[in-house]
Amino acid sequence: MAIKYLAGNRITGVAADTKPTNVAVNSVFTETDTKKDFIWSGSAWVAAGVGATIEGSEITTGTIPLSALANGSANKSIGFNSSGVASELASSSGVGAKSAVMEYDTVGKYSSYEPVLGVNVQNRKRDQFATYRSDFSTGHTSGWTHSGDGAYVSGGSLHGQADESTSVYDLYALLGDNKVDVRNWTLRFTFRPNQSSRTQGDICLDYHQKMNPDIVANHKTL
Amino acid sequence: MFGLSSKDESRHCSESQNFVGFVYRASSSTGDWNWGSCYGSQNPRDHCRDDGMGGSINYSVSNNAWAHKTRVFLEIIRHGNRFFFRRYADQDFRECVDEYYQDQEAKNYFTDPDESEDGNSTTQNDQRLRYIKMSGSNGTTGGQGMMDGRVDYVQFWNGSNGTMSAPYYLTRRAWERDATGTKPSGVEIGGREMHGATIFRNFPVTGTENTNSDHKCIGNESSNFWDAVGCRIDSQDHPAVTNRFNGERDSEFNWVKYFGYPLRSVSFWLWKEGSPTGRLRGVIYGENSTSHFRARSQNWIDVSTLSSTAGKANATKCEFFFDGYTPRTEDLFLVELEAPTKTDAADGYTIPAPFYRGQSDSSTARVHIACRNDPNNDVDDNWSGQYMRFCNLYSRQSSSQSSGVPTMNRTGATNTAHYWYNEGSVSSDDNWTPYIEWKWGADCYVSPNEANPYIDCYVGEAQWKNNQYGRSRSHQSDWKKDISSADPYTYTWNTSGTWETTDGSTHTNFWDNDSDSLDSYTQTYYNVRRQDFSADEFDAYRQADFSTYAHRTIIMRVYYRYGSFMFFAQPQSSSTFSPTDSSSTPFVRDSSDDWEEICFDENYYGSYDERVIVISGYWRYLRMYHHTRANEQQAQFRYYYYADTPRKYVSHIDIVPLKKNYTHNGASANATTDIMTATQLEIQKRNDDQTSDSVEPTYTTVRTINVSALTDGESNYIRVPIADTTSYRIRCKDSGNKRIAFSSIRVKYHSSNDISFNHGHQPMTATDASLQLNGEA
Repeated sequence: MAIKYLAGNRITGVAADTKPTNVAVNSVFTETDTKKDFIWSGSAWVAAGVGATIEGSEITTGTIPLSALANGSANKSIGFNSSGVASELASSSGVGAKSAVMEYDTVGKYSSYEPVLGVNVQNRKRDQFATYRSDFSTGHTSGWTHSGDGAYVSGGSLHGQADESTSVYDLYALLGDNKVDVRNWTLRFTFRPNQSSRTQGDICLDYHQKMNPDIVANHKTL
Repeated sequence: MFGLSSKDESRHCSESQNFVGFVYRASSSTGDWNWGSCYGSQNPRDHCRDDGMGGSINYSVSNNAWAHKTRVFLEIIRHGNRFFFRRYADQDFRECVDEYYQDQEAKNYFTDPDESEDGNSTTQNDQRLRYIKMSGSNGTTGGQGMMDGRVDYVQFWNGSNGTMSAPYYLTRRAWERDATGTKPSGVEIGGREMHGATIFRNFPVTGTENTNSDHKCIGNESSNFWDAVGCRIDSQDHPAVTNRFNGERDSEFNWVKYFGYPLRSVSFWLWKEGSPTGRLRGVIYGENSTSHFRARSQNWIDVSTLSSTAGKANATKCEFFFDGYTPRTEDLFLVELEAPTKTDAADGYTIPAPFYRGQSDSSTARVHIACRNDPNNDVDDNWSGQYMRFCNLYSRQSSSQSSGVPTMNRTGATNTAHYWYNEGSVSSDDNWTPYIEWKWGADCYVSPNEANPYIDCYVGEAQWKNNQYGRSRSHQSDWKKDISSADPYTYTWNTSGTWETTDGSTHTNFWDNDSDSLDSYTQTYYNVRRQDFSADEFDAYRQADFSTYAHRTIIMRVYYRYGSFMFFAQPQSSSTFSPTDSSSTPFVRDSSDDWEEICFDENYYGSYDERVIVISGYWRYLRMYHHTRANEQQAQFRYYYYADTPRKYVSHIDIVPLKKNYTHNGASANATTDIMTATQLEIQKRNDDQTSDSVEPTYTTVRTINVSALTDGESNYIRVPIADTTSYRIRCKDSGNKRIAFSSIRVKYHSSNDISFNHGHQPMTATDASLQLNGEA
């Protein structure tokens, strides 16, 4: 097809034609077979831009090569994020590469999340996170001072016998200027009556009777 | 005696001192134990015993063994101007046996920790408590060989009340009223779901939301001047008060406790009008009176930072921490303004009086609380009326103020004898319901400070323990349907288990589902298995050998009272395990890594109660211990199911971290120390690949999460690859010794059909901590 020169510095031809170079700057060359426009810059023919949004219907199926997409990070994949927007996703390496997942659920209401069946923790140990704590095991008796023969630590317990004996732990040494709060504090401990060598026999709390509500009612202050 | 004293070890229990604590006394024929306090020239031995709180000691032979067999777990709490004395049945301090309290002494004699020390003067007006003390006396110095008491596991919290750290109870639901105000199906008021919740939000949904013109505010000057606003618990059915003790009480046993599980925090939604200054502080009063001061929040909030726009949607959420406080009926949870320039130290540790900064009607300075008004309130709508009604305090600071602009004189600065909070009055309005959020701290788990601490969470079965709780035996068919419709691998466990007593002389197959093979120690009782337990029995157990080491889930329903069950599991048999209190070294639940405790259930009510117990874990050998609280008791084992394959699959894990501990600090609003010191967590899937009884299964990391990405005290939903595992491990990845801490751990389950039809694919690098919680980049 021969090149045609039209009014207004417009030129037509086909893609196979050699485009002229002795034309005015900003002349437009239209390839009638490919429907593409080119603009003479004064030194080269430059493909004309769209200058507006390309509608999906204007794109021929299968015409966008992958090489034309923007570069991303190595070993990433493309998908739709939680907002439904196409985006670069996490690496394809690792366990997650083949992971099947369910839709992300942040509702967290009663019906959607359930308690676990049970738990196990390392060495069955826990920490009460108290201001002070001691189980009187080795290395956990510092700060206690004793007076009298019957006040001592033995066998992982603090013993107090019914003679003139006393053991104390000075909280001020621990608390400093904070001192013992006059609003809220808690002291917890276990108590266990121990066997006496005296002939009068063992001593025990009447634990059973205390569990009887009729008896306890005589003592309660509620 | 054991407790807090003003005097050191030189002052024994028969000598004068200030003291709050427990006294155990015995002679050759009679004796007693008592709670109480003493002061001035009083001594603990005589004057703690005259407070009327305690019981008798019995020397009878029949009770002889008790003293060496069972410990008591004791707690002394200061809630403001009240001392509480509680005795518990378990190491976790959850099952309260009895409780006493004392008002006047606490308010009158133990209010000034800074009073000068007067040495050994007989006046003994030194009010401070300084020493944790154990002391004995019988008037002699005869040396050892006298009556001996052992004290162990001492813990003291200053400025707050003790919470628990018991991993067995992390299995809780969070529940909140949804946008339409509809309660979840099956939830009853005062029912189990609410007091089992980690977070409970009550947002009223009917009626009209308040505006400035409603004057639901600090600074209301319409008639009586208001200086605190908040919420009143007006019923024992309030979810903050009900718990597994008193939620089931009846008239015969109504002496059992009137307090709920320990709190973590209470939140209100507030906004300011004008330009108020100073600190907002959460405070608690008890029994509908300003004379019953209970607690003061560990943190405070600068009132000037509040939103200036009215309405819940625009208001500022203000969270006040009351760690360990146990709410009671008629408690008042309030917000008030404190003196802006006062610090604890500057005030000599007395409580600073509130100081309202508003000056007149023309220069308002008010703090409004978001709430709704509905004259037709009912429990189902707003949970106000009986349960969470609006309340306010008034006329505490103004003298003889009846109308108009109040006189803003600070009245209580030096009134240490009765505190400023004895002034003024309380009012409540059951037409108004505040927006409020409660968080419980009772069920946290805090690990020791150690290398790579972790917690394993068993999953795979729908947790319908609570759902099935209230159903009668006639619903057995429903149970079977629930199981079988969801998983074909579930089947009934037959007579494979043999449960032995300690001496091995009797045994029974009470797991058996029919009534034909009963042996001694069991009886047929309404077609159920009945097991008798000796009084205070703890060292007797039943054990079953399942032949192989594998994951199993057993679900049973037990009808019992006055006791608890503990289930321990072990890959291989062991002779070293003896969880008994009868030996010289009493059993400590968290000190054994031999037999792992995998399940605990208690019913310390006086009445028989249906309990559904889910036992899930890895074992070959399984032991069941029963601990009675009193007398010989019976337990009826009604139904059980056994599954060795998970029926449901996990797609998400919800972690509520416990990251911060709030501490009183006059200079900083939200001063904290770290509870969770771990900075990175690994979520690992158990591979269930154990090959023998001695080989533990391995774990594979599926997600890595920065602790900084988790919101403290809130649900954090983490997406994980769908897996058919039976357990997830949450492990600290940091090097060195660290601590992990959680308030709640939950999972989202799916059925196999749900997964088949609705799953997608999301690449997630297991070790990439930069991923969002949803797994995306």
